[in-house]
Amino acid sequence: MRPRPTHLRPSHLVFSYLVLAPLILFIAVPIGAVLLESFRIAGPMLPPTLYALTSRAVDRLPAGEQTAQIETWVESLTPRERMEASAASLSLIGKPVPWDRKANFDQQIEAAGKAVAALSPGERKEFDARYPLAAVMLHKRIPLAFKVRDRLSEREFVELRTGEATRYGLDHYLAFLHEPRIRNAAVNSFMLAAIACAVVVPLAFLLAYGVNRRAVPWPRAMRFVILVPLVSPPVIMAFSALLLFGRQGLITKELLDGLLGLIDAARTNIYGFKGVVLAQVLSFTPPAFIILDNVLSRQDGRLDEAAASQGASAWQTFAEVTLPCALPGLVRAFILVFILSMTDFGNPLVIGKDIQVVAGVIYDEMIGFCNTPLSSALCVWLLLPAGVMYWCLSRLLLGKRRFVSAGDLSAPPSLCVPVPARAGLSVLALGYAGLVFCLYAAVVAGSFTRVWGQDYSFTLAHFLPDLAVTGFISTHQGMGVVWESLMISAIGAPIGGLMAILAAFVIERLRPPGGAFLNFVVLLPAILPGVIFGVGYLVAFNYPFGQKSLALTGTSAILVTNILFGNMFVGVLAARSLLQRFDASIEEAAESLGANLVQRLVQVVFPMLRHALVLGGLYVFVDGLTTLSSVIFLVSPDHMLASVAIFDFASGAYYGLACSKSTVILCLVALVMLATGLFERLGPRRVRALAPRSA
Amino acid sequence: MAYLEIRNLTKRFGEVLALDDVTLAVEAGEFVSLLGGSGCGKTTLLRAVAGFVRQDAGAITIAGRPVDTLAPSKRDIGFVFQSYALFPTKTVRQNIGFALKLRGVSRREREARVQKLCAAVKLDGLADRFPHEISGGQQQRVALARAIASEPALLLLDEPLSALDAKIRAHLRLEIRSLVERLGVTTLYVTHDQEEALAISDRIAVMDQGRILQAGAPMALYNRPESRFVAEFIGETNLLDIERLGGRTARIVDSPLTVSLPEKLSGNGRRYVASIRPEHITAEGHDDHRLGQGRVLAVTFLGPVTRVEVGLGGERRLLVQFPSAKLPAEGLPRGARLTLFADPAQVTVVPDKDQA
Ligand SMILES: Nc1ncnc2c1ncn2[C@@H]1O[C@H](COP(=O)(O)OP(=O)(O)OP(=O)(O)O)[C@@H](O)[C@H]1O
Ligand SMILES: [Mg+2]
Repeated sequence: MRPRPTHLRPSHLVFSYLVLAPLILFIAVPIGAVLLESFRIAGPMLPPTLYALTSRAVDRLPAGEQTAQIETWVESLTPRERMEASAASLSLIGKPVPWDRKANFDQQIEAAGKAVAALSPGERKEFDARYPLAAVMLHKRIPLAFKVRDRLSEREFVELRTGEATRYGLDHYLAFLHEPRIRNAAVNSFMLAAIACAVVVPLAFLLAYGVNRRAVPWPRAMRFVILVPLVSPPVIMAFSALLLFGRQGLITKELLDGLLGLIDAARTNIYGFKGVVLAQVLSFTPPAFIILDNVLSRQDGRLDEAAASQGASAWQTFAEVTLPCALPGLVRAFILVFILSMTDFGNPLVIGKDIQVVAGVIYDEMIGFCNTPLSSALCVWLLLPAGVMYWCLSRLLLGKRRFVSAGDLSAPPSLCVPVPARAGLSVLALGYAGLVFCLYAAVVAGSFTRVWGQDYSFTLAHFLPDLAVTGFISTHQGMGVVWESLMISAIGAPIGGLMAILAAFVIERLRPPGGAFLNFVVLLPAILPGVIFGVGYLVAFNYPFGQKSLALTGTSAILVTNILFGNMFVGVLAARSLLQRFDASIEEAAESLGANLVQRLVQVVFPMLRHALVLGGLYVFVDGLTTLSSVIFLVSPDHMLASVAIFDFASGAYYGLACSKSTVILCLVALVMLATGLFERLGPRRVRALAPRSA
Repeated sequence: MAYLEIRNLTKRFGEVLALDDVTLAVEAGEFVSLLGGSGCGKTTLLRAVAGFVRQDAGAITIAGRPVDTLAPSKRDIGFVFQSYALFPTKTVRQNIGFALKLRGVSRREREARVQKLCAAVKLDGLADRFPHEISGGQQQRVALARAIASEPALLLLDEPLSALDAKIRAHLRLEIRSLVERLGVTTLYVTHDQEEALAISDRIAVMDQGRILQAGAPMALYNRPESRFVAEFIGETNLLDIERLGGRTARIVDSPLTVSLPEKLSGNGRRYVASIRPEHITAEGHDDHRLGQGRVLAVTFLGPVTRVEVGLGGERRLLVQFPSAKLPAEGLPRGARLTLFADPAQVTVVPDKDQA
């Protein structure tokens, strides 16, 4: 890193913090809010605290009324209530209650009279001073609260009325100890994550290896097919698997059951644990593939040749060189899949029948009961195993080895993969791609099919709400929800791209104090699962700073900001790497020629960062159309997103509607990516013209 | 039969003809350098011998055994890469011991041999470091030790010193030479540094555009280049136009000096030029050996020798190198007149470049 510019002008400083403030507000605050919320426990107040609160409330009574009012209240008490007030007063003056509080009331009342009479004169004075307020505190708190409501803060009023207050503790974290439901869900989540990792990481590695060593047919097309699910609507793998292998599935019901009579589709189908595993494997292989593809494509082919010249067979080269060098990637892929699986509620809800998982509990608690503290604590629990594992794995496996290769002098591998391995990899890759292709084909077919599994006749009803299937009423049935998604994406994309390059510029060039921390904040959403980000927005922006009027929940603004800040890191990373490639002296030259900050940005920086702007915007756009995990907590009946609607339809078994919306979204994403690709190809001449000067 | 035989090797990468009918024989224990400019096909030739590249035509035999279909791992070679290609996840010890481990050498014996190799390449005390924890020169030594650990009969080195700075380079090349000599291993060494090639090779093969132009001992290449490219590429030279006098004699233009053409004349109508090394030009001599008269344009004192640039009139210039001891004590003033001579026995006539 270059040292920070020594003379940061005040105007630059102001500009820096103006750019960076939203990052704090919309990324750090929600995540902090989740953490805070996870420790929040509502429970009864301790007597001294409640006594102090009561006394404060009594002070707020009109001065003239105070004594009279208290006298009236005290006189209206029953003997039993008086006994209780005595007990409370005794403990308030620090004396233990000398009688059995569990005895019957007559005995207790008698014992209380004796205990009070036995007090020393000094103690008696203190007792008498506490007694009226203690009586009010125990038995007349609610009338008191309403009497002085206007003169109390909202919080004081609630606390006085309920006698409960918020305290902070670990209770929610320990909930799984006494709630079998959560314990059960934790076991399931852990098992699923372990299985998903065990399948996905080797599968993705073999696919990436095959593609990079050109051991599979059409490696470039293969890479494309493997990556398509990344830009697809949510849970598409789960419900398309149901279309083929479900109770009403094309293969299970029509082929194996109906045509061949091999199974009974009503009993033998994909629903349940194996279905979740399948859906998770298909959903998480692409992200794991990206990591491993990246690692393998950078590996120095000379290392393989070195091993071969030493006499290593192809297998020995793989085991001794390729695999160890890919270890960091494998660790990262492993952790990623683990987190993705742990935080996945969509797939289990759609295809899991009644498999309970932790993410599902969070979803239920949030959507059903608005139980944010428990949900927050569970969110943190979801991260913990992955964090611990990452730490352990990096310690154990990676140590002080380094994995970067010689850079300029490295070359792609030239040695061929032996024929048997080539055949095996080809079969694997073709099988995988074939399955993915069939699933997508089922989705497209499903969107034109009247009722999958029963009536395979052609229909456009799923696209045109007027022709809708009768018997199902949903406001989100039509394509309106897709247009809403599109709108939100279209608003978020340019803002996201712009903010990303501004933030990158500030972090990379202006380097204000605290810049490194903000850089970390921007990257947080890349590491943290969407569930946390969604819950965080709900917690933070429901009553922001205790002001209902500032609430963002229920607006479309919260959707835009959530999507925007959740994906901003892509643009920031791209822009920073561009800025690192271009020499800062270009801008300094502009500045020395008299350009001010705005001119410098518009004339010099923006053209340089155009690629990052487009990429950052594109990411926000695509995510807006396809994301589920965070926005699902933020949508409202008035502001729905297509991805959430798809999830709802899929979990409600309205496959036609889920399919038709998925198809439209897939087309939209393809269109936009194509257009961006064209734009990028036509455009970056100016950037290229700038590049040589920096070299 | 030579230990390594390369016959009529041809390799094409798309449009580029990387190897064009290359034939070369390397005797057992011989140290042969492949020398040429960037992109002339040196690396490709070396990689074809190692088996990393499969030639389009031609044959390679190692120790009398055809290896064309043999995998690199079966060719019994050691290879040193320009980028070293040390295994980044293995320590120096594991890197060097890798070949031994593959051959099932026991742990104890492996330790002992790695120890010896480390000593041989002066790496003591670094055995447990990772490659990124040692310097470039040390990495180079590890790469060398790794390549000879399995005692291969053929050692292939691809510009092993190009990533190092000049001083270490000069030092290491002598170490490589003496190590290779001690082991008696047949060596093919790629470099684009002619000084390096001259310093350590038994023979040098000069390459250009995928062809070997001339192969021979360093002295022979220097004193009897067979083409203008080789004359210019190895050392410095003056190239002078000649007029043919018939038969195999010719006269240098504007001078009485007669020279003889090479014995095998390549093709009719081929133009020839005379090549005279700067140190073969003298300030006194026989009248028949007179090259011409000129004025001193520039003088560079280099210690034992002094280089003088002489203008012969017009564009023609000669680079001359005198032993400093033979010059007058006050040196040569600029503009001084000089008459220059050369011994025809030291003048080589070579075919000119192909006319485009
Ligand atoms: N794998 C390849 N694919 C395509 N062209 C290649 C490949 N390898 C080499 N070439 C081309 O073949 C020619 C010879 O390359 P080679 O690497 O043998 O040159 P070199 O003499 O080693 O050069 P240098 O001194 O720069 O290393 C070059 O034009 C190069 O571009
Ligand atoms: Mg080379």
